[in-house]
Amino acid sequence: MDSHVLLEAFTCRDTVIMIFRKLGARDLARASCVCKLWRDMASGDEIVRPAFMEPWKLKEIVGKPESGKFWRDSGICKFAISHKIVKGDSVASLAVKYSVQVMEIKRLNNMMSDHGIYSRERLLIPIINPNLLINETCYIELDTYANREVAVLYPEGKPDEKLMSKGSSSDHGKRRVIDSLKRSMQNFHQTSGGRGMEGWASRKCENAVHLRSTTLNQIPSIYASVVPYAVTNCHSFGLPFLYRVMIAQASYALDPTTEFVILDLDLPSASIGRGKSRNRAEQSNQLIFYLVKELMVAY
Amino acid sequence: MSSSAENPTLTTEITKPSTEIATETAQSAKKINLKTSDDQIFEVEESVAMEFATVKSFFEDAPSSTDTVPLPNVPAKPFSQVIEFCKEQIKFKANPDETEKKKSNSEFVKEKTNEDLVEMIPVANYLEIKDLLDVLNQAVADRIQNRSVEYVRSFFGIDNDFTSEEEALLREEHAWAFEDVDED
Repeated sequence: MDSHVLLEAFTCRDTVIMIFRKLGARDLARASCVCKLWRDMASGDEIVRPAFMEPWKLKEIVGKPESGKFWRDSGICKFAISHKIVKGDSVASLAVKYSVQVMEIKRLNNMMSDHGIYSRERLLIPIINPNLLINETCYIELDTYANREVAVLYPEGKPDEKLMSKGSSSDHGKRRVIDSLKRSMQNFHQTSGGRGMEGWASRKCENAVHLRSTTLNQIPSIYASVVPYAVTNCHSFGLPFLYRVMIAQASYALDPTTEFVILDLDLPSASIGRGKSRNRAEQSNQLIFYLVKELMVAY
Repeated sequence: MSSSAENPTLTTEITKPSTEIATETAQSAKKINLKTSDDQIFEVEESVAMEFATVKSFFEDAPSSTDTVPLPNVPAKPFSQVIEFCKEQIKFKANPDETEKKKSNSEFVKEKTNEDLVEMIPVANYLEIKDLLDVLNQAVADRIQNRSVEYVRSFFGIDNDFTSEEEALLREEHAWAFEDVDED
């Protein structure tokens, strides 16, 4: 057959789009490495959106993510239920209500303790049962606490107008991430008894590294607060290099699209307990410090 | 996705009972001549030719014209396969049976080579045969599923227009999608 006609066909948008519509997220990702036209098309909204929705039989997904990477992974951890907090709610009661683990709620919402949920308007509840998503509408939101973009399911149907307007502009979104980064550092400040925080938050890095390495037992709390913020920040501020450093240092088989695995990085804290990994802890320490510093300098 | 189950009844289906052919010709004896890009003339029953939306609208626009219809974008080889498909489809129009139709469709693509499929897509697209396009696109998607980038390129005959730096960067970004890819 005339190869000229063929080439034209598969470098022609209409034909290719029809094939792309039949591909899953992984196959699409590789398709984007085939040639320039395919790369541009595979990241097009009309392609990534349906591919994201397909595995879960969603009816609709509303909103545009700030990070194009949002579409890449359509794992269940990208979804959450928005629970509007009412009097009498506790993390434990919500865990029972939605049949999830207390830890999972706390992790998703970056909660340091069981207290203080009333300062929040809502909590995100992880989705365990994928059937919940069938024929539902999800809203893409940058959640201040989860600090990443989440496809949110509202049991009451649709989001509060007040909440919606907050996430509208991208500048505003970034502002919120920075605010929460600061808030998380304050958190850290409180839990570490006030020592060391100045170094972390300011640019006097050398002191801070030194300081932190003498208080190894606080590493877990650092991980719980700063790292998730730092990682999502790398995402939304387009600092992929930080992201890579992060992964390399963690020496952990990560899917770079799921921030969630990084939140799970309890390995260092576990090994610290055995007294063997002082170096490892120190490394982690410096790494986190490095991330935070970069973020502070950049913004 | 669309890998077909063994279909023992299919052979009887392909060899049409002679009565059916008789009624078919009786209903639409009219034949239409279609000329491919490589100057081959196909004499096709009107009912089959009307499956091609492009040809159909050609006749709607100029009902009186009885001459040969030129198909400048359609080479003979894939076109004969497209006709084969449409003949099968027409049977299901008279007697709709979704399960049988699916079976027949998947048998159709199953015996085609990658090249056959890839050549038929532009033809089906040009002739606007929606059902066939859908079947072909699904078949192609199934065949490139979990395959390497190199495989996909040679499958479609696409040249890599990235510089090696660009490609390395892209692959790194999508590294997660390259785990456990089938070997070529």
